[in-house]
Amino acid sequence: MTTTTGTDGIATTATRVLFVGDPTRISALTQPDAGMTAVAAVFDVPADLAGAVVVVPRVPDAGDFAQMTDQELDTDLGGALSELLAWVQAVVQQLADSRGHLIIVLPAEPTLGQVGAAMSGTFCGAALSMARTLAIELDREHITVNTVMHGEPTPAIRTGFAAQLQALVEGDAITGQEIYVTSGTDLGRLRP
Amino acid sequence: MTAARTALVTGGAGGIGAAIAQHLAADGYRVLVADVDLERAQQVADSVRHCGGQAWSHHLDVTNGQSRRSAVDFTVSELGGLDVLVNCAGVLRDARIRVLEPERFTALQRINLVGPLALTRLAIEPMTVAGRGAIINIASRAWLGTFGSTAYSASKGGLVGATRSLALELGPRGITVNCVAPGFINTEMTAAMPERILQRIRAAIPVGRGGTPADVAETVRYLAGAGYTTGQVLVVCGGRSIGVPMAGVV
Ligand SMILES: NC(=O)c1ccc[n+]([C@@H]2O[C@H](COP(=O)([O-])OP(=O)(O)OC[C@H]3O[C@@H](n4cnc5c(N)ncnc54)[C@H](O)[C@@H]3O)[C@@H](O)[C@H]2O)c1
Repeated sequence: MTTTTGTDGIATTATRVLFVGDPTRISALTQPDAGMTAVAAVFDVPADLAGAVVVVPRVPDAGDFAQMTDQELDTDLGGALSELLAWVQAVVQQLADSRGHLIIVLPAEPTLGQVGAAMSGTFCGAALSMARTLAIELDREHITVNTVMHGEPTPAIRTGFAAQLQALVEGDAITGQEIYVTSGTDLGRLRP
Repeated sequence: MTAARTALVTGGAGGIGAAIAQHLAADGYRVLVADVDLERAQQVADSVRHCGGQAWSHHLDVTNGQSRRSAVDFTVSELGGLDVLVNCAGVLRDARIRVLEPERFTALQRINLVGPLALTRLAIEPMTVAGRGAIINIASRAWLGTFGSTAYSASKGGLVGATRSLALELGPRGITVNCVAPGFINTEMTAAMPERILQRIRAAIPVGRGGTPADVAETVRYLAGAGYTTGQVLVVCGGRSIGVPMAGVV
């Protein structure tokens, strides 16, 4: 892996890091010169994966839980979970014979619990637990699985996020971990 | 605890659900034993009554909207309100990520996660009117991750996530929302596992035994009346979530 310096001054990796998932969330978090390539929002993981994939799932909208219809719960929540599974299975398939890194990126607030965010909080909790199981399952294949939770993507958070990803794609010592890049907004709260 | 309080226990015909129904009834709750298996639900309700408690049975398929509405309406009209909802119905049909069929994943989420959430949404209505209530979601230690358990652990993690946001949202209305995360409990669900795996699981539990449905029910009983505990996950696992008692056992 070669390391270069991005325009923001932080060291970044030249190893290709592939972003898949929700394009809006991806673009809010990534920096053009962070050495990481944001790629398509379609279920299309290239076969020439370089070994590090960041899944930025579509998180169902927050909304008044009491007003939600059964249909919304089923399609928005159930649909987002099925989509996450599809991404993860596609990525894992491509990582089949190689050492690799899977990083799942979630918004910190609904993950920790937030008023008016029951559906997004449910999704984030499910994604977190899925990542924990994947870390256990894929450890024997030397595939690391970690989760990064982020706050509102301010410049500081985007910089910290890029640096954090870089740390997670170095070797296979760090797996099954959950890191909060929040500029401290989550401090003092019990984690899920 | 007053005798007028009521509880709806989903999956009430199962090993853990039946124990929860018994424990709540022993505390004076009027309990609805709701399950997709009506015959067994009736047996559980009979046995609760046999022990001096007050219990009713009702067919409930948590994946069906009309069925959910019917169970909540029955509780409110026949039992006199809805104070405690225990989301205990659940299934464990899972596989490793590489072989997990998407249809199986979706079906499990509907039973273990989406259905219980939709039921919770209905239960909030009478609880809000009454200005009190307790919602107890039966999650699992698998929320911390378990080999071969992508769909199941995700469903239980989803319940934990829902619990946290709903606890914040419903606290001001006098409604608490908590999770119980059982570790290995001796029920029909776990009896279906191969003996070889069962032996390894038991050897890894610090207290040296598998849990009983009553172990879980005791925790539910506490949470049903604990107005100052909300948004929490109580892990009932014999210490297994802390570690294993012997090196080399996983
Ligand atoms: N047994 C354990 O070791 C263990 C550990 C952790 C968590 N849990 C959880 O505890 C809960 C109860 O488990 P159990 O061991 O008593 O299992 P069980 O199989 O004995 O009981 C589950 C009950 O849920 C009912 N059910 C299934 N699908 C349903 C549906 N669509 N609608 C309504 N009811 C439905 C079943 O008929 C059954 O009576 C489950 O949520 C399970 O995930 C169990």
